Amino acid sequence: MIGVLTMNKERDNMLVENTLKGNISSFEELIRLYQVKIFNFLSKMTASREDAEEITQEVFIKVYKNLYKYNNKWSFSTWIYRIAINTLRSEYRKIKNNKDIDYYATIPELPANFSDYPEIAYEIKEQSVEIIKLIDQLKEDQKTALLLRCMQDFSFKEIGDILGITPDAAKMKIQRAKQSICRKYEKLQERGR
Amino acid sequence: MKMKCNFNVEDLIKYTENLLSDEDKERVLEHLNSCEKCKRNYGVLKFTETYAKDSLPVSESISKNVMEAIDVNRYSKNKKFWLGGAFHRAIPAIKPVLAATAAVVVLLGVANFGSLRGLIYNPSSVGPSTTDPVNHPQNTNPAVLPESTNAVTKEPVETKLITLYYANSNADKVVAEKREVEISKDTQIEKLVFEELQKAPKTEGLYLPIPKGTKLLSASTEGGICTLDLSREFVDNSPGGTAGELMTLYSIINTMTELPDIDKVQFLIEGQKEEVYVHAIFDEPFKRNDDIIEKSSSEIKAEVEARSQIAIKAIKEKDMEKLASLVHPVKGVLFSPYSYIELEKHKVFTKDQLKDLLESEKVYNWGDYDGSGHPIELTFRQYFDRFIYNQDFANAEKIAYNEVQQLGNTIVNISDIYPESKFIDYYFSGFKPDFEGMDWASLKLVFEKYDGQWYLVCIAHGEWTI
Repeated sequence: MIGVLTMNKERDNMLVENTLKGNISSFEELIRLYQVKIFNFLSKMTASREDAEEITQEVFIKVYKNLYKYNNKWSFSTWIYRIAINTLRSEYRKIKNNKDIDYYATIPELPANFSDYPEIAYEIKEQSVEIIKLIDQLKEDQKTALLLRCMQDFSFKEIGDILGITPDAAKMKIQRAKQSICRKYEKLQERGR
Repeated sequence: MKMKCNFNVEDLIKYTENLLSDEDKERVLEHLNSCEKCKRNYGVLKFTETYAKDSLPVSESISKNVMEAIDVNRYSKNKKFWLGGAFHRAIPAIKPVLAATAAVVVLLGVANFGSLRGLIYNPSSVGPSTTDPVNHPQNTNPAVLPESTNAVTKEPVETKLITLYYANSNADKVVAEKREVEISKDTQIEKLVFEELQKAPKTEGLYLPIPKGTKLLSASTEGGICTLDLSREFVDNSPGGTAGELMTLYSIINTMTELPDIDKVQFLIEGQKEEVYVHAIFDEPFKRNDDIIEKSSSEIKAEVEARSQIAIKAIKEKDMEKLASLVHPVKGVLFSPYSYIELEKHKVFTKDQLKDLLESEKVYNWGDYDGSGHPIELTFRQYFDRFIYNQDFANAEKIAYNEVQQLGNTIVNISDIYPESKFIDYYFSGFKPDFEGMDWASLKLVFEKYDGQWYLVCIAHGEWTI
């Protein structure tokens, strides 16, 4: 695993350097490598496909413009998330105002082996939208940390680097996010009964 | 719903993250079969992960739109706007002289040369960066250590730390490099040191300024004067030029006068005194020249710290007259609202402009706010309160020399913009516990040397940028 990460890091740094030497296809390669991750991260952060698409484009434009500032002491993979978060925050006001979210569009296909407990699997499936809403309504920093952890398998250290906090603080935020979702869901169920 | 439940959400989180021991896992698993509440929480956690991991297909238009929006020639060869030292390399600043020395000193305790002038070495003055592994006796030659000179009929060999001076890359100063050598009783120390000096420096960025082919014909010391008889090549192969000449001479003179009992050096060329070398009068002994030695990093550190102490006090007290006196006479001082310095965006003031700036009503553009990207339009006084002294940096939690304190991947480009600079970072790790360190703050005062004195070239504020 570590070998792969190091290789990716070297690959990314090489692509960055080539881009800075004027080789534009290296930058296209960077887009190809990262657009899925960034788009999916942003689509969950915004809960909107269109917004996510737009912001993803902006992220890559910013990455390109600021590439000369990239410090290859850091991984490109964390740097780009930092830019994504910056961009998201500066766009967020715009988005929040006209938020008319279609949560149903984002329900994941649940795999057959999703849960060992059929009755719960059924309930969760029924309540998917409610849980997605709970995730979406998390405090922004908690949501960010949670998504980075779950979707990218970033280490606490990497998440800390992206958010500018200590690894312990990152771990804490993820923990709180999970607690918050569970507790709120519990309350929801109690009320529904 | 009457079963007893001893587990909480935290346990389930640990369970899904696979952080429990096998035994505890077993217990949770068993419990899950019978507890509806935990089962539900487990399901919610699993769903959260699935949802996060689930990926939507990406529209092809993203890549296309980006490529259309960017200037594809931005980084092409004839358009290198961004060079000028802004690209960051991960290569750490190298201070190998000290590094090499540090490595040597550790193992030297046995050989007692403490009384020799210039050979006394104080390990506490070692700089922070030890990146160069050269000359580590442990790796290179373990036989040098006195313990390992075994009882074979060999001349008694001593290990000695000597100081050699090489030219720096500007050819305006000589720089010490310490080296460990082995010396047997019947070896002449002057000869050994001179020949050691003729080996290339191990420190990166230093040069051997002795003309090629130079041979030491003989060396002798009498009455504090060391006479070095050198071969003709010393004159013939000299590259000429005053700077080069000084480097050649003082590299040798300062090296030799490191030895005890040597105060001056007399040069002979193949047995004869010559009147001049390139320009220098050559038929008299030379004295040691300490002014031509580049300062050690600990001396520099002390100088910068002293200057910075005055500067931070002036800032705290809003003593602009005092602060202006510290500003670089040529470059002025640049104000950077965040750690990333942009020469074209951030404001620079001369020392004269600075004096009355606090009273000025003029609104300046100081760059862009991080996050919103809006221009920072403030008077100097407003800027001062927001982006200079917004915390009591004079009493900072941590004051660091030439190293950046904050976490995260904020790019700090001081050493790229000001490669010759030294800076002091006044740093607070955070104020409100709720913010978990996201409210750290720092003020960096950046100094550059001009005409023998350290002057302020940049005041860079730093904070968590979103």
